[in-house]
Amino acid sequence: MINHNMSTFDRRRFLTMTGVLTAGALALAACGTDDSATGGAAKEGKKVETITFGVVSISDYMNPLTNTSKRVHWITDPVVESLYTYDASLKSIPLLADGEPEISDDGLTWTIKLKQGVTFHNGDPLTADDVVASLTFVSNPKSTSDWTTFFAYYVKSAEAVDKQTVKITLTTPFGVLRSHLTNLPIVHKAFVERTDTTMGTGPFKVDKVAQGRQVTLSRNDAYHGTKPELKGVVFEAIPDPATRLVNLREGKIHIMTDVSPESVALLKQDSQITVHEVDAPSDIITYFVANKAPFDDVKVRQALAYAMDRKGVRDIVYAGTAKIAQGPVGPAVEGHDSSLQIYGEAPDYAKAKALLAEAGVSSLEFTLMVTSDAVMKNVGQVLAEGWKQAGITCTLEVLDFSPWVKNWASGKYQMAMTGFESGFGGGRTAVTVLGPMSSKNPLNFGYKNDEVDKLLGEAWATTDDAARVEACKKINGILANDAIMIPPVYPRLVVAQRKEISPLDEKLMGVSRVSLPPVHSV
Amino acid sequence: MVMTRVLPRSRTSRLRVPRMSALTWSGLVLLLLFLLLAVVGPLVAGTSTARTGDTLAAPGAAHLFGTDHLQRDLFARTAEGARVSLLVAVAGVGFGLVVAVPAGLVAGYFGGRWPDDLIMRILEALQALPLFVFALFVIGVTGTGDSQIGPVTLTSTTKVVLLLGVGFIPYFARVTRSATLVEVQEDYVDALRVVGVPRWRIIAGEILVNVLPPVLVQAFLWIGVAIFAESALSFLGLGIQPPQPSLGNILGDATGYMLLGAWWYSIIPGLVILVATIGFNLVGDGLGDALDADNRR
Repeated sequence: MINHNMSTFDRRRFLTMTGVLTAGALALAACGTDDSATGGAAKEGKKVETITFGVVSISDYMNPLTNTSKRVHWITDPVVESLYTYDASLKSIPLLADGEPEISDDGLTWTIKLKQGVTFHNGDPLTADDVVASLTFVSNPKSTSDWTTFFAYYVKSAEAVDKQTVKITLTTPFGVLRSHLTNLPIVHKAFVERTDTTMGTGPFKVDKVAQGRQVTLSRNDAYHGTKPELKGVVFEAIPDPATRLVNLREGKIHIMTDVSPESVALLKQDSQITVHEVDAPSDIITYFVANKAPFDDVKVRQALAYAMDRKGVRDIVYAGTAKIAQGPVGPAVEGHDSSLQIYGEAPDYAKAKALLAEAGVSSLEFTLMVTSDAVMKNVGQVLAEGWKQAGITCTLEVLDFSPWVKNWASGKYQMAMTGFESGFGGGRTAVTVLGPMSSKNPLNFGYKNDEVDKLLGEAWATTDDAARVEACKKINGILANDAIMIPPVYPRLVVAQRKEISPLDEKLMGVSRVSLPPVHSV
Repeated sequence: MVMTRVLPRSRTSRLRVPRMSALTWSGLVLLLLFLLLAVVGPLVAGTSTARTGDTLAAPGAAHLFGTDHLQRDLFARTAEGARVSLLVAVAGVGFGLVVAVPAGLVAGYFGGRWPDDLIMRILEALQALPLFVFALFVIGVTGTGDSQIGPVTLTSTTKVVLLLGVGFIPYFARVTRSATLVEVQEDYVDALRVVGVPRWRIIAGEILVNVLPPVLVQAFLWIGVAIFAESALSFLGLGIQPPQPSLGNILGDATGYMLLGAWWYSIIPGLVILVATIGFNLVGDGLGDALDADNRR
């Protein structure tokens, strides 16, 4: 007889598993739709001593000097501080620095004195050596730190003049350094290359890191500034947005980051919850390989830009929370031009077809490489469907972030798109967005515009903020006309919090920061 | 040819129409419903990527299964997803059969000798890797996008088909081998050997025909497993890539919308997966029972 034992066993186990999974799914669905869970946890009048953030994910590398993503910085922001910080109007003011920097007449040397009496969490005093260690690390292109975008090749050297004075020597005048020094964390020199934890001078210190899952911070009682009332902060990684939402409504977390657009309306109906929607450097970045067909022709890129369904992306993917985009620079970034009006909300298919005809392209087919997060996948699908109406065939290539970056950095794409918070590294400057538009930038794939190159040089060199804004505004206009970066919308930063903690500072959210509320009681 | 007429007859066409149990009937109904959706559904529904203008609309006269978060008709997407999932499952099982049946035939024919040992050790090594973990590993390494192997480009769909097929090979090969081991004991095989019929003709011409029924019953059962596995991979974002729908990626997209009241978005594709897997299993079980009854006779 034929032996069916193995296959029969597997089939039965499979059927059992199917049954169990079905029952489990129904049970979960029943739990998930239970409205009685709404807003139960926090007791009125009880002082909140520890607040809990529900974040999408927590990086395995707990070093704010290695990357500029929210996965690290929302967690390490209370732990580390910078030489300068933002005041209530987002103006840069001294924090660890003792006053304004002394800049030489040629703009190539910056001398910065450090504040006295600042100590790290282990009691070591903050010295020039610590600042030099952080600066040297991020200025070394081989360090693979995201911060090299902002420092490498511009910073020639950083050296300690004495225990409390740092001298930064530049290769070229680099006025935007002030902004970078307002964002760059200064960590203890022994922690510069560590990836498991970090140490700074901030109001909270790292207590425990459960890699990828949870980070616990506790109050730094020796903090040099105004001491926080909170005893601690916990960051919980809750990848599923629906689970984060339920946790917030049940009071298991106090602050929810990365609120999915479609749940904003639901959260706004909850009397226990405040939803903050803020213009922040939350960019959708699009790139073309502009030295290869079909996107070496400006008319083809413009056709794509005119046929772009911006309204569809805003209304369907972002549930109306985003703003229609014109150029690459969004409303929270220096150089944004609110008067710029090139592309309509709705696609202009007739104009797109006319441009394609002028370019001699009878049928445009291309691949759009997007990252695999839900929002980008949705944006990609809405755009592809919109372009289809103009006779343009867009095939989506959905990749995890690492392979996406690998292909992007090596130019293996036709059009690429992703979204990220650039405020942690770039603050309000447009360095992250506009940097690759310089023909000298290694991430530039074929776009060369002499005026853009000249204006970018001026923008990064000047110490005059108004002049930088003006230069970036001009660049934004040129890039929008050249359709070399065509974000469909400017997404807003959306964070939800429970009302039993003090309101978050929406001004600081304008540079992607989620400040810790000073007082936490009803 | 003259010689073969006086030889003992090989046992072909043994599967008779059996009396079906209530469970098999239920399975048949479920299976027909699924096939109706997967085969006819895409023909009557509109384009699966077209927007309707309604976001997360509940099932009703305008949209039989409701709409999804990108305003697409869920009937069109579920029907297209069922078609894609069915095609991937059938292709995966087909690929598994193409490799496994010859391997099982050779192993069974040479039962106990070195070709059998060699084939069985390879199959055991393959079987030691759990199908799903194996698929996760390969897609994790190669990525969800297209993969280039020499001049050949493997799309995400092709990768899923191949992975499912590779995962099924040991199971199909074992069944084929077992059936072959039984067949080679039959008189007609000895007789064919005696009259000098080449070995390959005995295997491919006579034994193959007689081992196919149990193998095909197994294959039928595994189509249900393949639909489930494909759905699981696509649910995790590792299988069929958007905007092409599959039952798994529709279900994956639906997570999170249950809380917003869009119960249909998760429940309907979930039910279709359930109907398909149970349908294939119950009918496969019925076929297996019929085959066993025939063997006993």
